[in-house]
Amino acid sequence: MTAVLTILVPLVTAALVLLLRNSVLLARLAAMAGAVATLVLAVLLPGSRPFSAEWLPGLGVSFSVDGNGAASVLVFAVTLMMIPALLVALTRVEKGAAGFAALLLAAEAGLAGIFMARDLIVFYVFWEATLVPGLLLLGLYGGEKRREATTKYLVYAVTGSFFMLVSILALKTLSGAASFDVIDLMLVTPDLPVVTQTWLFIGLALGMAVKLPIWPLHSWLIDLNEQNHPSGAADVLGSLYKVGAFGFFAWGIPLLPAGASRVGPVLLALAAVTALYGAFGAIGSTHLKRFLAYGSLSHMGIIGVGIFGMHLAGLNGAMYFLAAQMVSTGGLFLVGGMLYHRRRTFDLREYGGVARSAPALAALGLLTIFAFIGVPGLSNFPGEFMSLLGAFKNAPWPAAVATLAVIAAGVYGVNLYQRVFQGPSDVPVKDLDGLEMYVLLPVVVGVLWFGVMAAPQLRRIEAQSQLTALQLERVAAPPMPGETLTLGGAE
Amino acid sequence: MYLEVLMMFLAAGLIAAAALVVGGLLGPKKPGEVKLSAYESGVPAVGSARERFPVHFYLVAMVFIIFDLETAFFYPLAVKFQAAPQFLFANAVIFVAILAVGYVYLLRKGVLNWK
Amino acid sequence: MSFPGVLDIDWNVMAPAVSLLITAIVALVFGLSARDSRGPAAVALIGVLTAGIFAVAHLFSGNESAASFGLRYLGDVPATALTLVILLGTAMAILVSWDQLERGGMGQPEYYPLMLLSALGAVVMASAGDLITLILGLEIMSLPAYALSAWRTRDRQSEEAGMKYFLLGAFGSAMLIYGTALLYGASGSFVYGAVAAALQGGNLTLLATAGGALVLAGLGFKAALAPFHQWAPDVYTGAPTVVVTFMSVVIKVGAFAALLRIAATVFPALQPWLLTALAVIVALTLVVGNFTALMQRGLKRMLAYSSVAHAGYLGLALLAANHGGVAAAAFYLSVYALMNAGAFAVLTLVTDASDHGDDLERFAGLGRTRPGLAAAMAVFMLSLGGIPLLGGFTGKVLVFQATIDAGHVWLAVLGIATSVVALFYYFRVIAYMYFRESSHAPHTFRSTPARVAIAVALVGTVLLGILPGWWHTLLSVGPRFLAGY
Repeated sequence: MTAVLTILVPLVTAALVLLLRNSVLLARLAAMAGAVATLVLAVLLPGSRPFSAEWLPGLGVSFSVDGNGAASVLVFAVTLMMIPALLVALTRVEKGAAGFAALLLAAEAGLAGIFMARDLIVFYVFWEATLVPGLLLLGLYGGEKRREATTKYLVYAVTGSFFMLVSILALKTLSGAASFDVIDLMLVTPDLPVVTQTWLFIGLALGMAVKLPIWPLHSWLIDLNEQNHPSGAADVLGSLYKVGAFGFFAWGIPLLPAGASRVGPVLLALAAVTALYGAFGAIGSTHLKRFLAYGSLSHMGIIGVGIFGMHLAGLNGAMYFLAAQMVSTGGLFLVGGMLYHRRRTFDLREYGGVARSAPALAALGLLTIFAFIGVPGLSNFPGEFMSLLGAFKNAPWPAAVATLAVIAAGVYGVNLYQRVFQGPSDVPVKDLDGLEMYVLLPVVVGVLWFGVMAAPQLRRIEAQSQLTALQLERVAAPPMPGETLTLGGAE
Repeated sequence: MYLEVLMMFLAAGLIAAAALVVGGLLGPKKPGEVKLSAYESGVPAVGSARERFPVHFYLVAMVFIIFDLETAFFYPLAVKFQAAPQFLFANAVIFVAILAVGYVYLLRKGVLNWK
Repeated sequence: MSFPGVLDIDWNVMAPAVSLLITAIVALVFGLSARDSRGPAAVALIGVLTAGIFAVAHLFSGNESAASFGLRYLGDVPATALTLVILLGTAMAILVSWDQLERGGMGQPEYYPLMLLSALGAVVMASAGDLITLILGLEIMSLPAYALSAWRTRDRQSEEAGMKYFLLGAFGSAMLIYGTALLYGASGSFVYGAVAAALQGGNLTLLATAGGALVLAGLGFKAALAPFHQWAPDVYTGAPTVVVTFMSVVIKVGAFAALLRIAATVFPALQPWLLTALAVIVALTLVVGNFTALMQRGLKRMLAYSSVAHAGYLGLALLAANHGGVAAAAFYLSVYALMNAGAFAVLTLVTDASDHGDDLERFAGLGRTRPGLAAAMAVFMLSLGGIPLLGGFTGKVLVFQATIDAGHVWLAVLGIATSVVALFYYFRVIAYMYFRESSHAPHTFRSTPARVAIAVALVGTVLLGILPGWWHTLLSVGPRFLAGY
């Protein structure tokens, strides 16, 4: 039941916040209470009982959710970051703050659903439904070019995920699985012929690669982050939207291991390119939000490298990195929002010397930047390290390329701190106020928690990634030479 | 076995064609003004036929069709009435009742009300 | 002499149709003395509800093989369920018309009796177990609809709509009748099951297949399958929006109900090229409907083409009629009735009394000026576009799964690819409502019945999205559908 409640509570809260929108105080109270309750539920997820109920029996779909495994870590990160995001949304959004908060909560429910779904259709339902709050957040509260950014996001996300849907539906028919339940599918889908698996995997990958995101399907992400509300609250979510890696980890690779082994190297190369491309994009950016978007794209590349290295350590690390980067990237976007609140610009060339007049902001900013670029002891390091380590075991060259991105991260991270916080101070700014302290508190806690307490969380992820590794071993034999790609190889 | 029908069609067509052709060839032709003018029921035509009629005529024609159809349905009913008397009687009653509603509707709409 | 198989009348099966007929008569007589059209509207609504109660009672009585007139009028689950969908659509149309007729100066009291008769025809089509009953149903459904589409008297567009619909509709009927004649000639029977049985191993399949093709074309006209869809955009644009609300739902359900049954029984006994032709028609419908809808600026015309596109998705289910396609299509039609009628209901409240002003610009800023309407419209658009947790998504998944099960993977891919296109024109409406400022003051016209209709559509769309299982289970009848055998 805990798993179901983790989805239901934010949804109900969202509705409640909308109902109470005319009373600022009540809406704020309801939103925060809901978010805190969800966080508590997320903490209780490990060891909770899986939930399953009939949903569309005629199609073999049941509403199955399970908060164990990687989901427990990822949902924890989501719910933790929802608290600062909501705090900012409720105080820094001038018009329609209640609507903003409700959309955030709805997206939180959707993300929890994506991570906990144990039925492929239910997974797809959450995957696709979460698109709507994201689109509305961007379209309703975004900057000047929000319409273009919305369209771009829609094009990429929908095109990808609809092809994913074909693969999902064909998966069951072709494999003859009894239902869309993950166990039922995993029993039979690896036995599909390699060509069929390859086609189906390509279909799934189209949807997931867009949301990983991977070069060259990434450009929606940069515009989305740039045009989102300047407070950064929506970007906390935006960074949460990079769920493609989880899709590959929990569904794509374990269901179609042979297809994944065939297509994987291509994706691995693309992921390595993404890591490097993102790093250089960040170095070349003068717009703070674009900078952060490129930086997090680089992280996504490293996560991709960890996934498509298809090694146990890499899979573990990638999922851990995915959870941890939500905290650091989200935190940086919030810091960016605070800077914007003071200076009304995202142009990095305008900034400088913030540390003099706002030392506390600078200190926490530095901590978050350090976490962002993967300094040991802070959140991103364990995941990043393990992703690359795993990849090195199976594919040293792409891993080496991706490692360059880590080095570049040191460059752009320090560069960012210098450009914003150091140097001559021409405009004095306010330091952190009480509210902002509360906003950054969960970020700091998260950054330290994910940096230090890696072992127990990795164990929970490993319980799930071992399944993926097992599925990969089942089809370890290389594909037959001379096989051609035709659909319907199953018949 | 449908050959007879086909032959009947052919015969009918031939007779009709023969009547026209033979009449046209053999008949006397003495055209005159009166003979060539259009006429209606023996009355000389007045004005153009492309004239606007009151829509009332159309409505009356509809009333006629309703009762025409009623008769058309009652013939077969009467012929086979003994096959299932109660059922067919009920059928007829329902049929007439529906027609009656239509008739009442037409009356109330003033279809038969010539001003 | 006796009447074998003609006298067995199961009144439980007939009750919905009979209540519609009686109500139509009562509403007609009542309308003679009514001051405005709202009295007949109330009578019509009561009649539809009564018919609905009968249909629900029959649906849950578990008597799935019930039929009247010796399998010529069926009361199996699809027939009863689709009857319910037709009644739902009719009820929605009545509620939407309630105030709108008076507002648009179209308050002649014959409106509702005609609508009920048309719905009766659709019910007969859904229940038809033989081709003659089907033709009767089709004509009962179509003739009032021709009159209704020209309801806005002294309006050239409306008159043109009525005329065009009548001429093309008559053409479609003629094809259906000719096809029926050929099928009878080849099989010696009108009852679907008997036709199929007689054709097994027969040597007249070419004749029968030609008949089947004509039946397909005739019903394709009513269902607006490309290339028989050309009437739809003009009629939908010209006819009053309230009438389009009715037509786009009820006539489509009627036509597809008949097509489904024929596709499940007669078509498999015919030569396989007919199914290939159907696949081509469906593919064409998907492409034409979606891409043309993408180019429309007027919302009414966009919804018209979108209804063509939805005919394409339903066509996919036709191809998979014996692979769960029937239940999928019935589910799809249920959702479609709700979301489409809901969208049209919103449209009536936003446009002028003359139905003009349906341009997308008119919807700009609606999210602020009329938040309730805009939210409802957004839900309908997302559902029509197939976004999850709304009924439209479940319908699409069911249809695509059936298509893939039937082996038409590429058609499913095409269907999904065109769904991407569809999402754009649906989402554009939302973008206009929420992401743009309004350029002029919105209408303040309010109508409680229309709001009730919108609320019903909203609840239904969401309910069938969140909890689709019960309804789909009820519809998943498999072989029981073929009570015509």
